[in-house]
Amino acid sequence: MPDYENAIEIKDLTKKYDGFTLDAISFEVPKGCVMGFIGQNGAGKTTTIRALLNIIKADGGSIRLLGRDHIKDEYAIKEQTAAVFDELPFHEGFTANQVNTMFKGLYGSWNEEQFFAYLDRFSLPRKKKIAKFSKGMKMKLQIAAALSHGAKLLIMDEATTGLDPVVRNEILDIFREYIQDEDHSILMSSHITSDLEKIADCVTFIDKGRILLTGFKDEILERHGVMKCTKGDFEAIPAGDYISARLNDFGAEVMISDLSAARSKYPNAVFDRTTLEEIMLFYVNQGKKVWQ
Amino acid sequence: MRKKASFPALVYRELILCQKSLMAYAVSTLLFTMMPILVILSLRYGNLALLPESIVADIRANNDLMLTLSAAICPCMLVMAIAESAVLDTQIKWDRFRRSTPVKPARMALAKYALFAILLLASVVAAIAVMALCHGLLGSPIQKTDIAVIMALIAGAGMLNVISQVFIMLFRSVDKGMLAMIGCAAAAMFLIPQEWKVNITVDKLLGGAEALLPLMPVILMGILALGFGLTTYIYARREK
Repeated sequence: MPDYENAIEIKDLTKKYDGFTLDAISFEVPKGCVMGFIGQNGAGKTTTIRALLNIIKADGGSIRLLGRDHIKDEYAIKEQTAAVFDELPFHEGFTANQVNTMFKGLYGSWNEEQFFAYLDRFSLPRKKKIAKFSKGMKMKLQIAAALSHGAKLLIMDEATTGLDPVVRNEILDIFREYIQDEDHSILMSSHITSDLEKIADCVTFIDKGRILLTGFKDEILERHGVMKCTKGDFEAIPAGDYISARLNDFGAEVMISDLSAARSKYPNAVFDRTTLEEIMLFYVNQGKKVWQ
Repeated sequence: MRKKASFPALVYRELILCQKSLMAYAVSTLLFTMMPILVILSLRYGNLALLPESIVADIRANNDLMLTLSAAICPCMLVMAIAESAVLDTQIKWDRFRRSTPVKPARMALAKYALFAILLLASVVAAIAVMALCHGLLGSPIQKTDIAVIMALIAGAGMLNVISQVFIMLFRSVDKGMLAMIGCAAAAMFLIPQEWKVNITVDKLLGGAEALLPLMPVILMGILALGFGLTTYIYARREK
């Protein structure tokens, strides 16, 4: 593998469907980072991931994974990447032992000992049929398989959706360990922003097939803030100074994208720190500008 | 140098996917083979043997082929078990996951058709063995016609299997795939000229099967090659 700075480089990726367009999106996942790919259902997260994995043919743009072209070097890349989907792709009649045998046929670098170590760690039975596993156990099995062939890039599509907080935390712990190796990177698509808040180094917001925001999570959280003011004060704020505003009975909450500039411009206003969820909410509504 | 993934492991995956169908065929083979064998035993040693010799001879003249064939029909269909892997793969969206792995489409298709070839061979061996057993019990040697009929049935089952798998994978739906296969079979019936249908007789069918017998290895290889080629093509196609 060549040396590379970014585990994923997407440039002007375009995919047109009837009623939906992934509109020339571009973003990067630096090597060694966890990228949270955030967006509501139907925003274009899965389409982007499918294009990354060459499951669908893009209409335009370029994708580089681990420093290589995702089509020309497809199979060499896939030897070093792992994908985790929202649904288990192994038949429910299989046992974990049979999954182990199956993966020997999929990856030359399959590490049986590591897989069994993960099974023991997750307390997953080896001889029990997957049909009898809980949803959390199935996801753990999928993650154990994904992490047992030395993948340098882990791509997850809504993998933690539908899991209870305890299982989600266990899984996040595994990812924290995985990312200790600086060669490892993760792209994690989700609409559960609290998970990404805990683990992501970078975030990319996507909505209606367009990238709204991309960058380091801490920088984004530091730069953004919610200004709280009365409806009267809000009316005096020019539309260009904020992303969107939520009106309620007590006044207005205004999402600011440049907190330090806003603090100097409106010294008497109250500013609160914000969360990824709020940022997503206010950006998604930026077309309306003012909403309730 | 990078270690290569294990090919037998891929074949094993296909085998595990078909295990329920294989079990069902094994049980059916036991049951359906048992019944004609019991009739044959009755004709030789049981109540039917107590009938006058001329009647027994009549029964045998009209039913020997039917008895041996009905005993061998289940093993002939064994190859159909592999259709289950396409059905299950569709249900679990295996195709999406397969595309995230480094396994090339041709290798995955080869694993499927390696098992297909094994099942085809097992079908031939099992069907001939059952037929030979029936003939042994009847005290008559196995005929060229018997083997020709077995091979024609296996080739037919193999072809149906390829068509059903291809349609299921193509439509990514079991229902649509099976419907398309039935549609193809119905269309084929319409394409057969009417005079053939009217003039068709058992003797003609048996004669046709015997005529095709020397070509059977080529026909079976052709079915395997066609299935492998179409499956590789479908695996290599990207979603829209």
